[in-house]
Amino acid sequence: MLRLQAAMNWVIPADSSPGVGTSAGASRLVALIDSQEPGVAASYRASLPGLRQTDLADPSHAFAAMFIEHVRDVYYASPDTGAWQDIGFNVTG
Amino acid sequence: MIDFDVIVIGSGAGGGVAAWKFAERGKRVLVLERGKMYPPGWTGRDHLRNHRFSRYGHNTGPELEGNPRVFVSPDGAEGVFRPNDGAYQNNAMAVGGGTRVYGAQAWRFHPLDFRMATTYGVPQGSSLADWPFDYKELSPYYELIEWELGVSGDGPSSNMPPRREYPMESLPATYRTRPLQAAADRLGWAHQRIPMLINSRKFGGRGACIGGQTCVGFGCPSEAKAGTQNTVLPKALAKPGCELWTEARVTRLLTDNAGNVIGVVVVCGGQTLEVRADVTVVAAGSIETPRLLLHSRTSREPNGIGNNGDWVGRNLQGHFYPGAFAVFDDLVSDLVGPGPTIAITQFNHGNPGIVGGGMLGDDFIPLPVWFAREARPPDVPGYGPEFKAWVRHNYRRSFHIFGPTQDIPNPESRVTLDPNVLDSLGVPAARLSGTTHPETVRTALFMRDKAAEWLRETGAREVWTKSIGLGMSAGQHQAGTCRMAADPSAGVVDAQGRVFGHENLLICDGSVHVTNGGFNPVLTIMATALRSASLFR
Repeated sequence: MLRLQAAMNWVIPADSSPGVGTSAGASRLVALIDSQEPGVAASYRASLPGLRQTDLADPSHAFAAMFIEHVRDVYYASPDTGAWQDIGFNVTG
Repeated sequence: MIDFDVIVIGSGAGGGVAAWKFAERGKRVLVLERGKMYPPGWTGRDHLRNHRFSRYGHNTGPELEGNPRVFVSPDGAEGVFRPNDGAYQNNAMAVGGGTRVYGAQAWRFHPLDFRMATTYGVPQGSSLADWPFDYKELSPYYELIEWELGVSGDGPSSNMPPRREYPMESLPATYRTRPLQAAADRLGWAHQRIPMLINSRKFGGRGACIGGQTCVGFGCPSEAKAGTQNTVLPKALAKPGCELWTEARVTRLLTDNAGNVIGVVVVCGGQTLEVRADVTVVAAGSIETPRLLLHSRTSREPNGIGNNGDWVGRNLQGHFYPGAFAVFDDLVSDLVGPGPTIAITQFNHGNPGIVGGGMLGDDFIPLPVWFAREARPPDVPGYGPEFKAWVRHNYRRSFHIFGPTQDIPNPESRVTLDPNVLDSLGVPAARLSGTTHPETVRTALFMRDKAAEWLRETGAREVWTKSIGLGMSAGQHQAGTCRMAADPSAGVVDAQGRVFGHENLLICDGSVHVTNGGFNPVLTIMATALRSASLFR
C-alpha cells in the first residue's frame, strides 16, 4: 500500500495541500480498481511494482497512462481526498 | 389475457407525454419501462458513475452487463460496448427516461429547422429533408408543454419567433451572465437567457431550484427539474385503468396473422407475457425503437415492421457539441447551479456558406473530475505539481461555451441488428455504424470559432479549442431513425406519427425527427409526441 501511495503522489503531489497518496486516496483507488474488470487489477499487480516516476511522461507507457487517469479521477471525484476543498468546490443540497 | 387500450413502450420525454395525453382522453394506458423507478429526491450523486461522467459506470439503467451494443468506428473497427461507454450512445433508462437526469434545456426549434432542405438544398450524400409540417403547426403544442411541465426563462431573442411568455422567470444570473451578455451586445449577436424545464419558483407542486452543482447527469434533490416522472406520468397514472410496469423489457411487437400489431411481448418479473392493446406507442429512443421494429419481423414486413421502404434505423443523428474553453484573471464561477444562463441564437441559420448552424451557451457547473480531465489548455500537463496548481487556481476562473450543432442527416449513419451479439434476453444487439455528414463538421468548426470569439470579447486571458472530426453523433440527443415523412417512400411514420401501413402503431420519440435542430431537442420530442397523441383517432 505504501508503494501505491507513493506512486499516487507522483500524479497529485503535496504542495500547499496534501497529495492524493493518503490512506483515503489509496482506499478510493483500490475500490475503483476492484470495481473494474479483472484485467485492470491484474495490470496493477504486474506493472505497479516496476513503475518509475519518469514513466508518467512517456505517452507510450500504457500502464502509466491508465494510472494517471485513475489517480486523477479518484482525487477529483470525491470529497474525502481533499480535492474539493482544495479547488473550492462545494455541494448544495 | 391482459389487455389495455394503449400500450406505451418507454416513459421518457415522448412516451411520458403520450401516456399522459391518452390517459387524459380516457384510455386505459399501460406504460412499460425497462428501467427502475427512482424515488423523489434521488440524486444518484456518484461523480464517477453518472450520465455526465460515465467512464466507470452510470447511475440509472440499463445494467452494465447483459445489454451490449456493437459500435463500428469510422475506420471500420468494431467492438462490443457496455452502456457506460461513449460508443454505446446511451441515454438514461429509468422511469422518466432521459428526463430523470437531463440538463432540462427547453428550446423550441427554429422555424427554418423544419424547412432545412428547402432552405439549403440537399448536400451530396445526405438525406436532408423538410418536416411534413411546419413550426406554426407545432407551436401550440410547444406552448402546452411549456406550461404543463413548467419552463423558466425570458426571451425570445430577436431572431426567434414570438411566443407566449413562460410561466416562470429565468433562474438567477451568475457571475458570468452579465459579462457574456455585454460581450454579445458589443458583438451585435442575438441572445437570450436559456429556457429551462427547472422551476425558478414553486410550480406544479414541486420546489424551486436550490442552485446545486450536480444537475445534468443527476436527479434533482428538490424536484425542481421537471421530468416526465414528476409531472405528466403521475397525472396519467392517477387516471382509472392506467398502470406503469417497471423493469419490463419489450422483446418484440405482437402481430396477428395478417401482420397487424396487436400488442407486445414483454419480459417482466421473470415472466414472458403477451399484452394486447388497440394502440401501441413505441417511445424507446432512437436506438431502441428501431431495434424493436427491426426485430419484429413478419411475413408482410420481412425486414422489420415499418421497414418496407428501408428507412428504419437510418439517419441516426444527435448533436456535435463544438465550443471553446477560456480562463480569466478574475473569478467567473460562483458555483451556483445549474450553470446554463445565456445563449447566442445568432448563428442557428443565415451563416454564409454553412448549412444550418447552432446555438451557443454557457454550460453546467463542471464536475471537478470532468474539469481536471477535459478543461486544461494543451500546454498544461495532465499530472504533477503544475497540473495540480493549474486546476486549483483556475477551477473558478474558467468556463466554456458549447452548443448543439445542427446535424445533417446521413442515411449511412444507422442502427441495424448485429448478427452475432445478443442481449441477456436473446434479442440481437443494436449495431451502430456510419458517421455524421461532412457538412456537420464544417458547421461545427464555424460554431467553434464563434464560441472562441465570444469568450475573447468577454475578456478571457486565454482561449483554446479542440479538434473536431467525423464521428457518430447520437447519445442523449439521439434522433432520426424512424423519420417522419409525407409518404412511405420517404420515411417510417406519417405526419401524425403513425407507422406507414399501421394505423394503430405510433412512434413518439426523437426517432421521428427529420432534422434535430440546432438546439437541445427534448421540448420538440415532447411537443411532437403530444401532437401525435392528440391527433390520433
